[in-house]
Amino acid sequence: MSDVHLLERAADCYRQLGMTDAAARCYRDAGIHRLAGDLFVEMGRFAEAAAEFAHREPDRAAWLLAHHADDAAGARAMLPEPSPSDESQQLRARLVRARCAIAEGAPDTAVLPDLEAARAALARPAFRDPFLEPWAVGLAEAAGREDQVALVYAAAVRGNRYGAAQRWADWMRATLGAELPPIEPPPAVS
Amino acid sequence: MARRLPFGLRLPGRQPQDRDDAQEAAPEPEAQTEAQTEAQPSSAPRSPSGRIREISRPTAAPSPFVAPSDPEPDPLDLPDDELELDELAAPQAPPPVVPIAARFSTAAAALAFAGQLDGPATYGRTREPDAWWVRVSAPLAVSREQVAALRGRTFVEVDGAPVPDRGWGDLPPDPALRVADTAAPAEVGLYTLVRTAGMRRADLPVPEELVVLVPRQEIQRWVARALDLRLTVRWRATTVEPLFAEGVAPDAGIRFELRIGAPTGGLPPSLITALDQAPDTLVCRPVGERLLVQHPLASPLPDPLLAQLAEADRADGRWLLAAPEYGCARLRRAGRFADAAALVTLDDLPMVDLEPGPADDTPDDERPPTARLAVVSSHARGVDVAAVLLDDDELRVLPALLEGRPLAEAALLVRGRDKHLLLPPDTGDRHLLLAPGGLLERLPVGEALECIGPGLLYVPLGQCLQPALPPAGRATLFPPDPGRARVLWYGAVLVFTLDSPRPEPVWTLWAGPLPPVDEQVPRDVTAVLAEVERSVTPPPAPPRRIRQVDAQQRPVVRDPARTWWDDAFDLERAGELAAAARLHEQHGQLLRAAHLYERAFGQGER
Repeated sequence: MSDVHLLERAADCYRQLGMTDAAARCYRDAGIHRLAGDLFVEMGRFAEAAAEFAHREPDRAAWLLAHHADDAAGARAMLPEPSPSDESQQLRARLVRARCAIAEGAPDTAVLPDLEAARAALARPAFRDPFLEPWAVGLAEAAGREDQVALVYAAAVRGNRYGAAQRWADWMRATLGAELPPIEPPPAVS
Repeated sequence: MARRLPFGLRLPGRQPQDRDDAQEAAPEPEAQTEAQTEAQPSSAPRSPSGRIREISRPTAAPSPFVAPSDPEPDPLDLPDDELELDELAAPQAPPPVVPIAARFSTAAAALAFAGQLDGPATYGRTREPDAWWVRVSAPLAVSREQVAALRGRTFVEVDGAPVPDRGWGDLPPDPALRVADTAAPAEVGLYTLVRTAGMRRADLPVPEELVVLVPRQEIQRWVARALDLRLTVRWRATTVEPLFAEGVAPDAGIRFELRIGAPTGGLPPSLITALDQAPDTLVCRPVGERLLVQHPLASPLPDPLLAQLAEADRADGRWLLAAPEYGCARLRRAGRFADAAALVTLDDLPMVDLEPGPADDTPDDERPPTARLAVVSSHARGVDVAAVLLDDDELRVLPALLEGRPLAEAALLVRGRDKHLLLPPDTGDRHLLLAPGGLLERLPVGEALECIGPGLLYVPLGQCLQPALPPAGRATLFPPDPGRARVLWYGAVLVFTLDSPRPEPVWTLWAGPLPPVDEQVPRDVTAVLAEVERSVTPPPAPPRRIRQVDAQQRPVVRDPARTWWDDAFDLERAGELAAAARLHEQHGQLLRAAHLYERAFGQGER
């Protein structure tokens, strides 16, 4: 059993015991940064989570800093230059920059082009990015544009994303106190 | 009609509307002062500086309050500085002293006024209105301002009766303005004022010397810390009694008095803060010989007067004035001041001869060690307790602590076998309480130990080795031995044998032997069994040659009393921490498993 595996086993034991802090420490020491970062997010320690994600997923780390840790400057510094061929990376970078701009006091209209691009991608079932929808929702909420939140969810439903209708209904209930009318399922792909 | 009041205040009788007028018109003298001052001609100055200014102008009219000086030089012939010095040095008539009675709504204000006085004063109190009085003979102009600054009211005694001050000038008011008060002020001592006024938190500078009252269990800790900071500390015992109890036989407590001083620089504020936050510990500053005041509190009465008050107390002992959380006390010394460095042992310096020659016949075991491995304090946050070292007394309370708790299933006790040769002679037996995978619980008794490896090598929790040793160095100095647990103690290495006898489960401390077993079998069954035994028992066989069986070929008979805890402990002792962790994990002891996995990682086990 390798050294790292010993720490991973220790972290698994700590997780079963509900000792998230100790588990995150072990995962971090074992170099399993993604699991450590997830646990730090679970504990609400976003700056430490960002430090874990900075190794492999710098755009995710940048989003955590901008959206949760209120550190727009740190987020901009951490955000990598997206690859021109990777649409997902480009969209993520746009959302992070827009979130930084909101944190720095930009008007809510500044984020509309970025949200429109995200909606267009979400409406395409073939586009797979698990973070695009929550980040777009977070950006629209930070800008105070509930209409844009609804449009993002609507695009996700059109894109046939799993559970999007339920998330939309939950958000409606929690934020607006209203029930979402029944949504017709999208036409089956022939 | 007039009434004679204590301390000479003579208040005339009056009508109720007079009293109302007098109370409502309390700020009137000040208002009147300003109005009258403005109405005065410019030739009637009210301050010494005004007088100087007026004198420097030869055209101004002479002030009636200034003694004429002749011959008056022409100020135009002298430089300005010479003029002012000359005028300041000119003799002036002292302002007239009049009997003043000052009334204040709070004792603190009365004390603050008393602190401004030069001469003796007497004190009084009235209940209706609730007021404190200070009676003194002093210049009226100055006292009036002082009293007004403290939101009090000035009266002047005229023919033995208090008359409200008119608010300006050095002269007493018209006796026709006298008013009566409703109640006679009862004479009180300054002591009562001080007690009533209480204390306030003051922003005082850090004093050069502090007196700290500590209970006996805290004294060594604070002396060690102060000595670490290169401070001087003296100590003695002191009895502590309630200060205000009169006629009651007080139950005296004992505290230790530490006098902490800084030979160079000041006392570190961090030490004072730490002392201030410690429970049952009081930080005081000495004020005079017979008074201690809690730091950083202060009385409204200035310290020198407070010290005089304490020195005037006929009872022996010193006063301690402190916040209500601690209480005021009278301290009586119960010992002599001595240097507190003897209370702790920081660095024992051996006594060696000057340049020992070849004739030095000191036995080797008496030679002071040149260098030794020691345990010193270190940072120990988040470290779990692996074992506990107990003495005889602590062992006796262990059943009360562990009976009925899950730890009792896992904990093992290794008894010390003999008096320790290396520890001081008054040290009793030491016993080691451990558990497979670590105790992982903090017990209220004993010295908690941390396992640093290899094997079962422990140091006290919060301590580390000095000089620091890497794992390889520890493995060389303390080769792994499954049969021994070692504790790096202060000045000694305590070795506990784990094989013979094996550690006993801790529950044997409170679980005694079973009572005698008496199997209750019916009589006819016993008879049937005896008949069966007789009929089936074969005749005795002829003696056979005993075959030598190799011990290796014998089937292993497993001890039925052995549990998986024993297996896990054996693996741990053998250094197979990952295997021990897996065993714990299989049996649901996840916390112990996790700690063992971490220890295995720390020791580089693969």
